[in-house]
Amino acid sequence: MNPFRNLSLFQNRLTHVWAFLVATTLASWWLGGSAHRIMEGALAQERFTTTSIIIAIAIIKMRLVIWHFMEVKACPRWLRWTCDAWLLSVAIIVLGLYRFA
Amino acid sequence: MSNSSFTYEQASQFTEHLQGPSGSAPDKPIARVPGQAAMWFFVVGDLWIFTCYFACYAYDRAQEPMAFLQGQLSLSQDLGAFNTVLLLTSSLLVALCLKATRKQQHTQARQLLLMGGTLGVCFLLIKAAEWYVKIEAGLPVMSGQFFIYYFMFTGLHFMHVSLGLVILTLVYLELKKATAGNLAMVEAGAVYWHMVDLLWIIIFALLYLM
Repeated sequence: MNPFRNLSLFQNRLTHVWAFLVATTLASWWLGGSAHRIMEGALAQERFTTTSIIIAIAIIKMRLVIWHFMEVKACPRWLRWTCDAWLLSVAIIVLGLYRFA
Repeated sequence: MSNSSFTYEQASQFTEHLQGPSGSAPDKPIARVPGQAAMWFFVVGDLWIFTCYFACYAYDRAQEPMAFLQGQLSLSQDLGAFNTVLLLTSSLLVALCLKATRKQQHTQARQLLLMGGTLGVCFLLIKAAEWYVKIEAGLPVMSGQFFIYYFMFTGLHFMHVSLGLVILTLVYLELKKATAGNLAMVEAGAVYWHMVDLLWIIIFALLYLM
């Protein structure tokens, strides 16, 4: 039996989210791979812009997983805020320490 | 709201609510926590503990940016990206499994869960192969702080995936029983599995890409 029966896979929001997640994974993979191209004589600090974009993409991906897969978008406010606070903290802590430490 | 009071009828309402405005959404959206509160306590706690490790990593990386970048370049970005897609797909399958469970399609739910779990096993095999290649290559490649973090993060994550597979197995067995009480357990198992996915997304960005 088809395990995807009655799930309207192509109209399903979960599938759309998954497709977006895969697309952004490929985009950040391409961006990260650019390190090979700029390695020659480049200072790692010059990668800060690339690094920021990569971390931002990861934060957006995690927000989508939390919101749609973990169903937090339909959860009480305290849990939605806790999750968003965590995401914001990760972005600030990682990029802040990487840039200014 | 206690989870035991969350019936299948409410669950299908909840699914409609998640699906958005189409269909007959309830007048007032049900705000509830999927699964068991204890699982959420564990998940949020675990995420914060990992955040502390990420902070240490970011700080140390800022001290020796070139050494860390060189370590990063010796990893296979291709395998890392492939593993990310595996876990994302696995997460989708587990989310669909929960949807099927709410519709009381337990056979379908088990099939989806089995597929999701299989992708999880594939993830572990690829990760183990990646470690094997690194260890075979010997110490010169692995010296330096970057690889301490590499093995720590991927090792901790490996243990989380393994525990996730045990939980998915328990959920599978519960779905075989098809008793009305299993919905909260399926939800809690799914939440844990998505957290494993969540952690990999940020670990992939920190170790392989940034």
